[in-house]
Amino acid sequence: MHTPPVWRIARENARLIGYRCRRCGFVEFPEPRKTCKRCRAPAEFEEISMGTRGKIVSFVVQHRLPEGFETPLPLAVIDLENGARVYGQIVECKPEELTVGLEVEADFRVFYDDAGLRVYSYKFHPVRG
Amino acid sequence: MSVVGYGAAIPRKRISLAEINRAWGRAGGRGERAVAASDEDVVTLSVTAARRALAHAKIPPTELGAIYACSVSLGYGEHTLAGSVALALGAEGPVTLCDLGLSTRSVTSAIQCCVDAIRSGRIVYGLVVAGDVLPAKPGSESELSSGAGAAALVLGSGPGVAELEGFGSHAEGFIGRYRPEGDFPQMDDERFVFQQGVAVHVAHALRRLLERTGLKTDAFARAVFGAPEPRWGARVAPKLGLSERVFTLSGEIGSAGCAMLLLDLIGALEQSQPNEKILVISWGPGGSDALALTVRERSLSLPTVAEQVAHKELITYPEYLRAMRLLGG
Amino acid sequence: MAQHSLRNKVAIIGAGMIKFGELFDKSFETMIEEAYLNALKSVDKGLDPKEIEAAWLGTLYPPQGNSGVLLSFATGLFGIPVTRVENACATGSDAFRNACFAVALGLYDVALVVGVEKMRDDGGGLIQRTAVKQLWGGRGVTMPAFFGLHATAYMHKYKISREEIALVSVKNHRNGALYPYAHYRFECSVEDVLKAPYISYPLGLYDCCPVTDGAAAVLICRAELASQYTDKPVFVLGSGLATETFFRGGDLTSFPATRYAAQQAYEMAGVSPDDIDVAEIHDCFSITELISYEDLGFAPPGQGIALLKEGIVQLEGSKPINPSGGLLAKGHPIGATGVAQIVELFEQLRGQAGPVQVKNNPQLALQHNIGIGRTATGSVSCVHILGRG
Ligand SMILES: [Zn+2]
Repeated sequence: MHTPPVWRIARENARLIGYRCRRCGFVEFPEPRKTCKRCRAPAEFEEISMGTRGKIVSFVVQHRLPEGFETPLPLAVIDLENGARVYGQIVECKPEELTVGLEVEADFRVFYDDAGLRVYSYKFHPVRG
Repeated sequence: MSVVGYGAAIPRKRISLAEINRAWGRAGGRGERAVAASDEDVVTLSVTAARRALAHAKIPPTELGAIYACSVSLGYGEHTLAGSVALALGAEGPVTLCDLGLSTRSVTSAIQCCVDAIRSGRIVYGLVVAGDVLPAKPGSESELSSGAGAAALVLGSGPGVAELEGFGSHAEGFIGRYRPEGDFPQMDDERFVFQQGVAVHVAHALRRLLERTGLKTDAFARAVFGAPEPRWGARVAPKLGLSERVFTLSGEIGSAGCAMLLLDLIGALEQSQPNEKILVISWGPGGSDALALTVRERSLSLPTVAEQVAHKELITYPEYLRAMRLLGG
Repeated sequence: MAQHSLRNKVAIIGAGMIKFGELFDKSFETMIEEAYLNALKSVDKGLDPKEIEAAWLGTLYPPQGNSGVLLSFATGLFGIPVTRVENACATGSDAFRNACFAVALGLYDVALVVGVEKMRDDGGGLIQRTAVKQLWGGRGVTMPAFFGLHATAYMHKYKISREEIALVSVKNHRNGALYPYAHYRFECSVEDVLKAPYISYPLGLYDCCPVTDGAAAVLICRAELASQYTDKPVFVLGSGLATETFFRGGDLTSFPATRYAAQQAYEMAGVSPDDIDVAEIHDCFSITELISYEDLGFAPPGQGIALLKEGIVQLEGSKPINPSGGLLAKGHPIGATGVAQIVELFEQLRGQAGPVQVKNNPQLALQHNIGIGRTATGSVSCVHILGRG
């Protein structure tokens, strides 16, 4: 929350706020836009809560990553309940439990350390019981 | 004055005391302690607990007039836990932020400050949140009890899950346990700290609470006791006539610092019936606070602490060292 | 709609490259210089460097600044326009495409295109460049992860196994073992592919292209001037380029950017996928080639694997794909890759591809790249169709 790029999307990042195209329903996140990627045209957007649950569209298990990551690290493309698609790291899940379609829930976590200051965002864990 | 909602966050990773002892060539060890994953810390756990408390209270974040945040292990000399929680909840704007810490007693100080602000009419609802990931020197005795977790209460003047009946406090410039910045916790002679500090301060605070509320110790169905060393609760209870009534999760999750008192309180609330009374006592450097609660409604905040305690992943000592960033990197 | 086309306006008259590999003994500029000299040498009737009126340099990670002047330093070609192009894995092919625009327009008679990349000087390769300080923009998403996500989705939807996808690696390593410019010149079996350590599950080591240095160069001219330089020119018939992101939708079993770029190129060339005799397509990972068969129209969705199983895309098949061994064996020095594919197809169409010369007397060739940008959140594809004069 101190570098300008992180500060610019602080609200959206901390509260999973997205912007939905009133014409086609595409959810822009985390920066608000005035043009729609799906309509390929200028569009009006409304602020929405993206919800905290979603489904895995596809996934990988990362085995080779630079310093700053622990491996094996599951990574997924996730469709959130209110229409947004995001990248998400999966926590509290064994690699063999991952499947396409697995239901996951947002989990607030440390992402990285920037000059001693931790920066936070959401990872996802499988929906429990 | 009521608790209108509460929430808890306990990390999923646990290490058994037997596993820690095994790593150091010691035998035995009963119970487990919670371990924060390398991407969990005071802020993430506190935010999660606060969000659950707000959802349980069923009030929008804009209704919060103040946030009191406590931790003895935030890891920063300058920072804001209260502000980090405000951002995540969407409670920014005309909100009083108060960051407390240094002593595990600060969680009951926070409750008192919040109650005062509500009583004065300055705010309608306030949030008290506490989170800790207690560091411990590998191989030390406190490694066996240093847990992690966070919990939050939403307080308000209307009806709620439980009613606050009153406070009793005792202050003394007694330190006993301390942690130099960037270092592990240190303690003076543990028997000295308990006998001349904890036991004395707690007795004073409880006596004042009982005097103020007119209650007797046998009025309480359950007692929770927040202190950096969880065994002190069990040791002080007989002296206060509370032996079988002490409720604690410390055998399952270790001590979660400032959060321990609230986690135990939430655990006690989950088991309580309407009209039962709960005694809450904190101790930390500086003394002790005691407060009395009467349960009004049995209402669970999800996930419950019982579920969170049960939902665990046991890890090995090397995995623990990695999660606690004790191996560098 | 556009009124102009590249079709038959630009001829390739020379093409050369250097042997790809871990070229610790060659600098960025030395690699450019060698590729350029090889391209000059390949012009049948000779070409005086003074005839080169403009140049394009495709490179992603130049060692000293981001200017086209690097090409001038390497070749001595100062005093003419030199433009540096960067467009992810389509960098080399987009540099070529932009050079074609200028020559087709008649601005220049002769132009040079060089693609180059020095991947090994900084150790770890692209994985070391993985986004760490990112929140939602592809944090921890490596190149293998981006394509691995497509592999998982594809395997799930079409019930394709890792064993089947491995056939791509086996084919390309077989070709690469024969190709003199390839980084890796060994064959591998399905078992080798399956037993290799995972890089990004479901992709293992042999599903991934290596970290490779290399450079390639082509010389182009206005089509009507081609006969001054060679009796066997290769003509540019079609070109397409498009971007996409799966954040707009889709199930990750296709690279729509390739579909758009291919459609543009086929339309411009007036040909269909069935007409293509030989292709160099982007196999940065095994799965990329398999999905690209479908995106380029060589097979219906989910049926690309049949081309491998039936031998159609093998060196001896009716539609050989990646006779050079592709990126998997030849290597993928990013800026050089697209240009090197064009070098290879130039030789194939002229019947000069030596040990990997395809046997079907090719008339039409297709070149394809798919790359990812914006820290693995978007993709860009470039397609060219080339034909024999
Ligand atoms: Zn739209």
